[in-house]
Amino acid sequence: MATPKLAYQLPSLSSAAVENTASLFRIIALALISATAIASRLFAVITYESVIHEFDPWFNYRATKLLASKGFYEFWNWFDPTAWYPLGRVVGGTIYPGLMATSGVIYYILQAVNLPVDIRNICVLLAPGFSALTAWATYMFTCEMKDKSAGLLAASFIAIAPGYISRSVAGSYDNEAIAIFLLMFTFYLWIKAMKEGSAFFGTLAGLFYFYMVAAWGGYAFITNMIPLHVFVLILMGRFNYRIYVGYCSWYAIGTLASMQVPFVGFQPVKTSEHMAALGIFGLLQLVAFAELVRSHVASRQFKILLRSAVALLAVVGIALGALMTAKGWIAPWTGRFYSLWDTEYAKKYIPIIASVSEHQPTAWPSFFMDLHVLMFLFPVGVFILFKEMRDEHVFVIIYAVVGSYFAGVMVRLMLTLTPVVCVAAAVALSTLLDTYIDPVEPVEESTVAAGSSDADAAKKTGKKAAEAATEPTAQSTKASTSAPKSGIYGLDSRILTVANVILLLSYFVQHCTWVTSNAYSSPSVILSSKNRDGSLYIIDDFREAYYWLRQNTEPDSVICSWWDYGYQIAGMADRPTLVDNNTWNNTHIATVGKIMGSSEEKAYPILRKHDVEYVLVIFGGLLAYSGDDINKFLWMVRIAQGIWPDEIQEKNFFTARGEYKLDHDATPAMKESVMYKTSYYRFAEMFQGHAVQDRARGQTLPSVGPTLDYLDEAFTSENWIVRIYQVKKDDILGRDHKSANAFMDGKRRKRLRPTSHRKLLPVKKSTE
Amino acid sequence: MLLPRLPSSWTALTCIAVLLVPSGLSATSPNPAAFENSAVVRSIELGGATTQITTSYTVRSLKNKNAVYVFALSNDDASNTSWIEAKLKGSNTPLELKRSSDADEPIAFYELSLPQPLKVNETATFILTTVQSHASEPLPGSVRQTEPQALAYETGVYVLSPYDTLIQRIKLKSSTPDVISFIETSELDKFAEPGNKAVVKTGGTVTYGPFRNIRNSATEAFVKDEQQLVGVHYMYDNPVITIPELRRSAEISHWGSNLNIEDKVWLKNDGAKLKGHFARIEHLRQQVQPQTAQPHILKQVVFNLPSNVRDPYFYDTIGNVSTSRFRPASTKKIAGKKSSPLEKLSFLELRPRYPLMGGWNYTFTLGYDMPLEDWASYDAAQGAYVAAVPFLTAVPGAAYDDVEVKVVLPEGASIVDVNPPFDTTIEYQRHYTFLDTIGRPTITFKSKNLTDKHAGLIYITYKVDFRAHLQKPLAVAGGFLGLFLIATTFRRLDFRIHTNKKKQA
Repeated sequence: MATPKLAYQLPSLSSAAVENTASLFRIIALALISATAIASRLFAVITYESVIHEFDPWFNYRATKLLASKGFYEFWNWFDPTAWYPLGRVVGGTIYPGLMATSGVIYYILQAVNLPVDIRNICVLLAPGFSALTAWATYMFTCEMKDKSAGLLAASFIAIAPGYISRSVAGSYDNEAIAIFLLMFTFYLWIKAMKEGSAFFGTLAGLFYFYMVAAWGGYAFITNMIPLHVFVLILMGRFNYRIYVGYCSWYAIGTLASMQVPFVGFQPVKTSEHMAALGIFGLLQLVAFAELVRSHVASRQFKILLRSAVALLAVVGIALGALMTAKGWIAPWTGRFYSLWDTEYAKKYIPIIASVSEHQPTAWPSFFMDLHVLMFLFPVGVFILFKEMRDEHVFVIIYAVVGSYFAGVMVRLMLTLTPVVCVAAAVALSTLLDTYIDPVEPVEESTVAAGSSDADAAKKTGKKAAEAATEPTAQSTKASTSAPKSGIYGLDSRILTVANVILLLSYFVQHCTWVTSNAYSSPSVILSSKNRDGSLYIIDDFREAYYWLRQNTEPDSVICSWWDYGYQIAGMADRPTLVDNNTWNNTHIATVGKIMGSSEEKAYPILRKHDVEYVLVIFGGLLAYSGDDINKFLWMVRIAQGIWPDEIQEKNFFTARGEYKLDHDATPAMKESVMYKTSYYRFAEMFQGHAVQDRARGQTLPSVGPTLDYLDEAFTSENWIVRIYQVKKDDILGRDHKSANAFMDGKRRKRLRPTSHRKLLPVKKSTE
Repeated sequence: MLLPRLPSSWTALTCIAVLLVPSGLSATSPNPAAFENSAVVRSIELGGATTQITTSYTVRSLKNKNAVYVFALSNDDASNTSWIEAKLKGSNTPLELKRSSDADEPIAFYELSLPQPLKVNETATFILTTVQSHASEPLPGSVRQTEPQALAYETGVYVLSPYDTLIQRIKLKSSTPDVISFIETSELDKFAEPGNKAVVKTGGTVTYGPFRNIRNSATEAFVKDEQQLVGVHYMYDNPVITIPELRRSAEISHWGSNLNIEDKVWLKNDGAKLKGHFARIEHLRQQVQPQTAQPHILKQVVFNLPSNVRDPYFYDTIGNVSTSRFRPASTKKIAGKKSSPLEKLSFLELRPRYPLMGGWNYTFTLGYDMPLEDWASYDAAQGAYVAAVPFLTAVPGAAYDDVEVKVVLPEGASIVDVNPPFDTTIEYQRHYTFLDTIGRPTITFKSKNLTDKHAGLIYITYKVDFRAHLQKPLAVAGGFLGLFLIATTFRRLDFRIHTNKKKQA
C-alpha cells in the first residue's frame, strides 16, 4: 500500500495499540462527560441546599415518599382525599408512575444493601444522575449516525446544553428528568433495530418505550416519530424487511406494554394521537404483503393489482376512520394538541393552559440562551446528514424538522429539540475536525478550488482526496516526508481552524456554566438576594409559612390558594387544598378564581361551603417579588369569567383607560376583591405615614389600607410573601360578620379595659 | 448500680432490663423518734417549665447509730419532681437516695443513707435539691401578642417530714420583682409565731413562715387537714420551653473515628397561649421598638454543644433551616493539658423558621460530629473500649417530657457494661446501616419527665474484635467480586440462536 502524503508525522504504533488506547480514552472521556453532566447540575444544591424545586416536583416527591414508605400496591391504589377538596383525586390512575417507580426502586436497592440514603436525596439527585445516562445514550445514538468521535462530541454537548439542564438540575424532580434519557435511548434502540433488522433491539425499544410511556406524557413524540420515520422511508422507496422486523417488534411489544399503564389504558387504540403508529403498522403489513406478491407475480399484473388495492384500501380506511371518529371510538384531538398547531388556540378556549408560562411560544433569544453555538452548527449537521442520507439519517432530519417546530411553539418543548441539536451539531463539528486533523493530505488535483476555506468545501475536498489517497491505485510517487507549512493543506490553516473550534467550544462551556448557574439553578421555593457584602441572603418565606401551617394548624384544615401552590402546600404543609397543579377540574379552579375576584360578602359563603379554614395568598409588594398573586390575578378573573360570565368580568378590574391599577385609581371591583384586600391588609402600616409603595408593581397605594370582616390575618411570613388568613366561623349570634364587626368597633370605644387577670386563687393584692 | 447481664449469644434481638427495681420495699414507715428537724428552709426558684427547689434540713439525731434519714414529699410534688438529689451541706458528692414507698401511696418517702451514722444529739445539715417540671401554669391561659405573660405556682406551705420540726420557712423567689399577687389566709397563723405576719414579700421573694413546732407532718391526715396551699402569681419574661419529645441517636464509628449525634427535637412554647392571631406588623414593631417586645415569644434556642463539635446541621421536615448560626468554641489548646470537651462550649443558635408564640410547635433535627478520641478510650487492662455519650443537650430551663437515646456501637461490638447517668429503661436492639451485614448492637435508653439537670454522660464499655473491623471491607469486596463473576460469566455465554457468520469472520 502506498504511503499517502502526511501534513504532520504521526508516531508509529501498531493498529491494535491505537485501537486500545482510543477505546481507553473514550471510556475516560465518557466518564468525565458524565461527571461534568452531574456536577454542572449541582449549582442549586451548592448555592442553596438539597431541596425539591418549584411546583410539580413537590407532588412527585410526595408520591415517591408514599411509594417508599407504603410500597407499590398502596401507591397504585392511592386515593388522595386532601387534593381537590372535597372531590379528592385518584392519584394512582392519573399519573405517569415511571419517575416515582424509578426512585422507589433505587431506594429499595439501597435499603437492601443497608445504605441509608434519604428518599429526598434520591429524588433531588435523580435528574443529574439520569443526565449522565442521557449523555451516554446520546453517545450511542450519534455513534450510529456517524462515528465514535461524533458520539463523544454529542455526549459532551448534551451533558452541558442549557436547554436540557433547565429541566434536569438537582432538585428538579420532574418527569422530564428521566424522560430525555428514555427518549434518546429508545431512539437509539430503534435505529439499531431498524439498521440490523433485529427483533431483539426492536423488543428492547418496545420495552424502553413502555418505560417512557410510564414516565412522561411526551411519549407521544416517540409514538409519532418512529412511524413518521418509517412512513418517509417507505415513500422514499426504501422499504426493506429490516424495517419491517424492527417496527413490528417495537410496535407490538411497545403498544401492549404501554397499555399496562393505567393512565394510558386503551388510548393507544382509541385516540387520534396514537393512530399514526397503528396506521403505519397496518401499512407495513400491506407493503410487506405487496412485496411478497410482487416477487411472485409479473410486473404488469402487479401494477394493476397495486392500483386497485390502494384505491380500495384508501376508501375503506377513510370510511373506517370517519365512522370511528363519528361514533366516538377514536377520541378527537385534545386541546393541548390543538394548541401545538395554533398558538392562539389556548388563549381563546383554554385559559388555564395559556396561563402557564412554560406553554408560551418561545422567544428567539431563548434559542441562543439554551443552545448557544449549537444553534449555528445544527443546520450544518442536518445538511451533512442530508448529503449522506442513510436510513438512520432520515430519522435525524425528520426529528430536526419536527423538533424545531415544536420548540418554536412552546418553551418547554425546547427540551425535545435539544438532543437532536446536539447530535446534528456533533456531526457537523466532528466532520470539520475530521477534515482538519486528519494528517493525510489530499492529492492535489487541478479541480480543487484552492481558495475555498469554507468548511463544507474543505470537507468535500478532504473527503475526496482522502478516498483518492487511500486507493491503492493512486499515484503515490511523491514521498510523504516534507509537508508544506502553509496553504490550504498546511499546518497553519489546520491550526487556525482547530483553534477556532476550540475557542468556540470554550465559549460554549462558559456560556453553559453561566446560564446554568444564573438562570436555571433557582429552586423557586427559596429565594435569595445579595447582601451588600456580596454574601447570599436567603429569603425563606414559603417554607416558613408552609411549616407554620404544618405545625400549628389542625391537620384537616382546608387551605384555599391559587392552584400554583397546591402541590407545595400538600408537600410542605401537608394540608388539604382546594385546587392544585394537576389542573384537571377547570370549574374548581374557577371557583377559587371567583373567591379571589369577588368581594368578601360574596366569597364568604363559597369559602364556608368548601369548608375552607385558611386562605393563602402570595404577596410580593414588600420585596418586589413579581411572581405573586396580584400579577396572576387577571388569569384568576379570566378563568372565573369563563364559568360565571355574569358574576365576574375582567373589564371591571381595569380602569376606564384600560390600565391595571392598584392605587387610588383602582376600580371598586378591584378594591373590594378578596385578593386585593388580603394582599394589602395592614400593609400601609409598614410605611408609618410615608407613601405606601407596592415595590413589585411600582404603584403608590392609598395610605389607609383595606379592612377585613370575614377573614382574620393568621400568619404573615417574614418578608410578607406568604399571607395566611383564617376564615371566620359563623357569628355566634347569627349576625353577618360585617355588622358584627361594626358593632364590636362601636362597643370597643366605650368599653373599659378589661381587668387583666381572672382570679382563680384566693388572691390578695400585693402591697406594692 | 445493678447492671444487666447480657446474653452471651445475641439470639434475642432485644432484651429489656429494668434498672433499679424499688429495692427493699420497706413497708415499715420511718421512725419519727429517730431525728428532730431543728430547722427546715425551703427555697423555690420560680421558673417556667422547670422549678428548682432547694430544701435545707438541719437535723439532730435522737438516738445512736442513726444511719438513715427519710425525706418526704407529697404525692403531687413527687409526681412532677423529675430530679432529686441530696447532699451534705458543704459537700459536693451526692448521697445515696432511694425511694422507699410505692407510687400510689399518699406520701413519697426517700431514704437517705448517711455516710457515717450519727450519735445522739449530733447534728447534720442536708441539702435536698429537686427539680419539678410543668409546676407553673400560665395565668391567664392566653394572652395577646402584645401582652406580657404571667405564671402561677402553687405549693403546700409546710415541708413534709416524718420527724418533728422546730422551725420551718418557705421562700418563693421570682426572677423578676414583678410579683402580681400571692395567697395569704388566716389559716396560716396556726403554726406561725404569734404577732408576726405569716407571709412577707420583699422584692421578688415571698417568704412564708417561720412556722414553729410542726409535729410529724408526713401523714395523710396532716396533708388533708393541716396542709395549706399557697401560691404566687408572677410575671415571667422568658419563654416557657417544653420539649415534648426528644429522640437522640448517637453513632460510634471506629472506621470514621467519629461520634455522630443526631437529635430529633419537638419544641413547644408552653407559655400562655396566643390569644387571637399573629400579626406580622406587630412583631416587626416589637423588633424595632425593644421596649414593646414580649420576651416570652420564643425566637431562638441556644444549644450549648461540646467544644469539639464539627459539621453541625440543622434541618426540619422540609429542609435546611437557613437562619441558624454556629459559634465554635475557641480552639486554642493549653499545652500539656488535655481539656475535657465539656469545659469550653460551642454554641448553636437555632432560630426556628417562625417565632414561636405561646402554644406553637416546631420540630427539627439537629446533628453534629465529634472526634471519637475525645469521647472514647481503650482500656488495655479490660481489653475494651469505654465510650462516653452525652444523654441530652441541656437547654436551660427546658422540660423534656419524653426522651429516647439510642447509642449505636460499631458493627461486631459486644457490650460489656452500660452505665447511664440516672435510672432509665434500657433496651437492646440491632441497627443496620452503611453496608452492614451483621448489624450494630444498639442500646436504647427511654426516659420520661427529664430536665436540663439530666444532661449527664452514659458510659458504655464494649469490645470490638479485630475481625469485626474487617467485616465490612470483606463484605463489600465479596459483593463486588460476586458482581464481577456474574458479569464475566454472562459475557462468556452465547445466547444467540442464529450465529451471524459475517460478524464472526
